[in-house]
Amino acid sequence: MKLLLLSLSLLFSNQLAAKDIGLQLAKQMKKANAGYISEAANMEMILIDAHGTQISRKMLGSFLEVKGDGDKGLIEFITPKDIKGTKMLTWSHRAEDDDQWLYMPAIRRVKRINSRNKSSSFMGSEFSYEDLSSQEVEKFTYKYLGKKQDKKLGKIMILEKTPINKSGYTKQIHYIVAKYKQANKIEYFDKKQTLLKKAIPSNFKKYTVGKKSFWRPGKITMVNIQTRKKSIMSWSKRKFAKSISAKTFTKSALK
Amino acid sequence: MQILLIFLITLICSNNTYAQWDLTADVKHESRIFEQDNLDQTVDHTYSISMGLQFELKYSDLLLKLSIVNQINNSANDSYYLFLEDNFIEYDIDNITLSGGTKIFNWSATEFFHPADVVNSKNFNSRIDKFEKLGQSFISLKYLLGDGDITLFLFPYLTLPTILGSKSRFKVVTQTESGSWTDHSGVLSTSKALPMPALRFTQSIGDIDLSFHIIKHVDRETPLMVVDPSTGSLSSLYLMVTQVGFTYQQLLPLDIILKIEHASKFYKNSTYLDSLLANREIANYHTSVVSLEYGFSHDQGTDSTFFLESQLITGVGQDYRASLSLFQKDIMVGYRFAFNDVEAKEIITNVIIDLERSGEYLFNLNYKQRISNSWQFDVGIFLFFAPENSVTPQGLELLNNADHVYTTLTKYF
Repeated sequence: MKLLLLSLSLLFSNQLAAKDIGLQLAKQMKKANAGYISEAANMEMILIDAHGTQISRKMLGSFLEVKGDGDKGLIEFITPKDIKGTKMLTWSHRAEDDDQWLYMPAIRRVKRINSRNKSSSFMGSEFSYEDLSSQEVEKFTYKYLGKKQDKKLGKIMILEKTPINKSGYTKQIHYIVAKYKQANKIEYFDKKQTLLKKAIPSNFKKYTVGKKSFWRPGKITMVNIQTRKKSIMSWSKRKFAKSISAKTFTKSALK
Repeated sequence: MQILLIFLITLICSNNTYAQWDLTADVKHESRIFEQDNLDQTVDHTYSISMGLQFELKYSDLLLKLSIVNQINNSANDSYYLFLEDNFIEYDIDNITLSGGTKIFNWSATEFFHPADVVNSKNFNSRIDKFEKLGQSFISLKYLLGDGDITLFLFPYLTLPTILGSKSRFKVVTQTESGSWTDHSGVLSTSKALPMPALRFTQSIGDIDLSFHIIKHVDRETPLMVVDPSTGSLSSLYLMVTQVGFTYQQLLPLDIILKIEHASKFYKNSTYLDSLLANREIANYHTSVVSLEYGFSHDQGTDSTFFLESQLITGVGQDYRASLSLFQKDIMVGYRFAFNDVEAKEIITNVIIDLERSGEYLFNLNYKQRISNSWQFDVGIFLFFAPENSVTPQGLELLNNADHVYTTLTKYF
């Protein structure tokens, strides 16, 4: 009986420790990747269907770090030309649902998007709105699953993230490269707890803003395991701490 | 003008890293095939070819936009049109934005009925579910305030709508001469140089987006058909009106978006028009729209969205409101299915049912998709169920027997 109680308490304390370590790791990652002030980049998204048909979408991305709240982001579409000028404005929040608006140039209208329906495809790609929104620490619970060693990348820590609010996923498993403080693989599980998508971030590059250095992937390949469709998002001409007016991230500036 | 041109050419040619410019164009062919009516004066197969050219230049805090559309249309009164869309210059100073030129505005928040969206005149020869707008001349001063803005407008020059041609299959009364309009004193005016002021306030508070507007302008949404005493012919009369309205959007639980739009119109009483109006009363009225939108994703990555939207005109009797709009007390039930694939395939269907005039409804089914990166194809059908019961057709009766299929093919450059 004593042995059973001891085993149970050990198991319970291990689970608590896993949660605690997971949360600490998430906070460390947040801290390591903070301080970029602002970001502007050309973005390209290549959509590849199950038959290999490809289509490219080019965008301009601008992001602003907000102290005390989630970041703000603006994505403007350049191609395909039928959606040129379409803009998506996101105000991320730490714990609450994000605010999102879409500007449709054909009808000159700013429309509020239901960000609670985050699992929708982002412009026909394998990325969902949720994948592209700011991953605030407060929006998940965490479980540290362990670590492994990679010959090239060194220590890789495995972190399970479970969303607190409504999400298209039941959980995500992040494989975090210790030296980048960034994941080089993310697995997304659907409502049936089966593997839905796999994101492979690559082409990591180090950036420095003031005295702070951080890493960012230059490319993310998102593969849908169930439909065999694939989308590749890549960044170029990426600049941090660029002077971007806070006015850019207002609803008024969309029109 | 020459100085502006020299400035633009210098900026573009200088390869200035702060100056960004972009030039795009499109050609659109739209075709509508109506159920034959065997009448010589109407056209059962209409088409229009539009060529659009857009130029945009950003230099520091300065933005210049130029956009024109040439259109050939075989069912309109004139076979050739030149439409000015966005042709304006905008300058930012801190929280203030100064703008001037011509622009297409959208003050609406709803999907099908848009009582708040009244600034621009429309091209009534275009598609009934999304009338093309004509650029409205303006000067504006916008001040950012909280999570929104307050904007003062002055619309200095009146742009009249492009009216339905006499060859059109829609039975909305046509007229061949330009309409007449009243000025701020309620007197018939001959000058289109008519300053019209407006103020609009927008704000986002949490899950709520709201806007409020007040505009004093010539109402081009609901012209009166009058007999011109001098010529004896039918003519459109556009009256000066003060419109006060608002829009409201809120995210509700269960992933529903609620939208409310309202506009109250207060007309200028005038004895100057007695002879023209021939004892016809001009009444103030209110238009309200309530809309619900619910969207969700399917496992395969496709999306579905349901719409429910209702419009009601109040403050006037049943006959009067039937004369004001095709949709005076109607409900729209709509559904959109997005395939979310590389061709951006999409199906939209809706039914509009008249809740007051029994047996009147409209059905629309539309399919669109992208073909390669630079073509877009759009095909659909409109069916109108509104048998003519009155001597003077009203409401959807005006569109009776105008069932048609339509296609649009657009090439982007």
